[in-house]
Amino acid sequence: MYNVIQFEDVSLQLKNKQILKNISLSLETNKIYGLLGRNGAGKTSLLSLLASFAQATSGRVAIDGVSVFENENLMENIIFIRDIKLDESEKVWKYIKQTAAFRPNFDEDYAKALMQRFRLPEDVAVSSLSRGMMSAMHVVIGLASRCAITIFDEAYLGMDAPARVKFYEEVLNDYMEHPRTIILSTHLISEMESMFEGVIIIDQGEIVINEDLDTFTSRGVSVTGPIEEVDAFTIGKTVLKEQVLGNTKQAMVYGQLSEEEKQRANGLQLAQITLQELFIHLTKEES
Amino acid sequence: MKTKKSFVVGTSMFQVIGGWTIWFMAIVLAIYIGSVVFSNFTGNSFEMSVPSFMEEGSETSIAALLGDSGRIFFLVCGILSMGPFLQYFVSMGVTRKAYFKGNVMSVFLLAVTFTGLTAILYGIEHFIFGNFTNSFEQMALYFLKLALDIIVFYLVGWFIAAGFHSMNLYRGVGFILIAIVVIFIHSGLWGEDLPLAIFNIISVESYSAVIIVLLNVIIIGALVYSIRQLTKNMTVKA
Repeated sequence: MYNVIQFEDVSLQLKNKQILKNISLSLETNKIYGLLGRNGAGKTSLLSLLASFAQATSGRVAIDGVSVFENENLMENIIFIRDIKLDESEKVWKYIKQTAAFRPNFDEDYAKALMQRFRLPEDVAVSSLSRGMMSAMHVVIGLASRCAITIFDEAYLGMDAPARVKFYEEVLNDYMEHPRTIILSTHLISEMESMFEGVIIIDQGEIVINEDLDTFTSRGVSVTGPIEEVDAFTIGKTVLKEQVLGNTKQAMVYGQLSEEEKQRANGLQLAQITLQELFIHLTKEES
Repeated sequence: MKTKKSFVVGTSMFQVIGGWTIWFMAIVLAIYIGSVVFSNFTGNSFEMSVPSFMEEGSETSIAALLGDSGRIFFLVCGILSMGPFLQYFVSMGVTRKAYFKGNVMSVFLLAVTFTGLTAILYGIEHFIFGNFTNSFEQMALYFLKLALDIIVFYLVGWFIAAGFHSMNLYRGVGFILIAIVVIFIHSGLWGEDLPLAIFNIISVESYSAVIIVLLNVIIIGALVYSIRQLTKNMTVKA
């Protein structure tokens, strides 16, 4: 439906605080992105701009060259799901169904099926839902609305592990059937890593990384082998983390290895590093 | 054909606030019936303050009680029509413009409904007791004033909430002061007793009702315009 989402030199200032600094970011559509950042890095603010919750202080967010803010046709196709508590006396099903009036692609049958899957009660007041059930309700709305741009900002925090697994399965299944751009902002990196096609990392209001997952994870390598050999191999390299067990050492190295280096590592075990390790490295505070 | 978002907003706001209104009217009616029974029992009668175009010492009626208390009720509704509603609609992908148009549509619908229901209740009361001193023209003007009261008080509430929402606390207080002046002018136009003498120079007694209504429409227009300016780029908390 859309081709490209662009943040064009976007800054956001709230009172005297600079939240986002000159962000230029281009996102492909019909792709699942993981948005990672430490607390206060600006994730929610960035997503707020895409969802028109706020207007950029300077720059703009545009889809296919058209500014998103206050654009009726674009806004109805962007949904921003957060893990918020609602003081709503309406019954759950009625509340979910109301969404249909605002979301052109809302699928009522799918919403019903999701409610059953998450065991979400229909006839209780929204305000009386437990934290986990409240998260489930937000997720049902987010998925069943089938918006071209679907944003989940830590929406699954209240869910327990089995419910989160159901959520991940539903995101992937529905994404296969109805491709759309899904942005998942999360701290649960290791749990969700396998879902991401693209990774965006934001740190202190600036974009640090916007890459495909594979490209990004190839930035780091874990090297395992005898201590002396590993130490010799890692001289001059950025070592993120080391672990020793008996005579064996595992070192996580940042930076891509050249073919020559890979050959030199003969006898050492090389493996891809986890997204979480790379994320921690890229966002750690300077001492 | 796609339904206009502002229409969806308007009807849903009308349904929600209309629901509160029915509750409010039912409670006021119960209080009124209770007080009438009580005053009959004790033999005391009570008068309501009425605008200057009505007969002095008019006996109270359900219309007077709903008219008086309804203004405060709709002021509160106007305040509540800002934050939670805007947040809900924007998170549903509705533009601020559609929210604004929908809320304006809702306030007019509410004013017509509230005034209509009040007139019906007054008619029933009149039919049963038939002892009111005001003429048909006076009552027609009373209900026109009531509808305009509701619109002005609701908009003033919305205006104050929009001021607080988009400015800091101190500037928000400034919006309350502006709102008080607006309400003084509005009430002064209709010849209500005001604590400030300057407003006695303008009243329905010295001008024709048409001019008063026109001036009222200008006040409403100014409020609506100011609210749109305050809300058109408003940030919604994520």
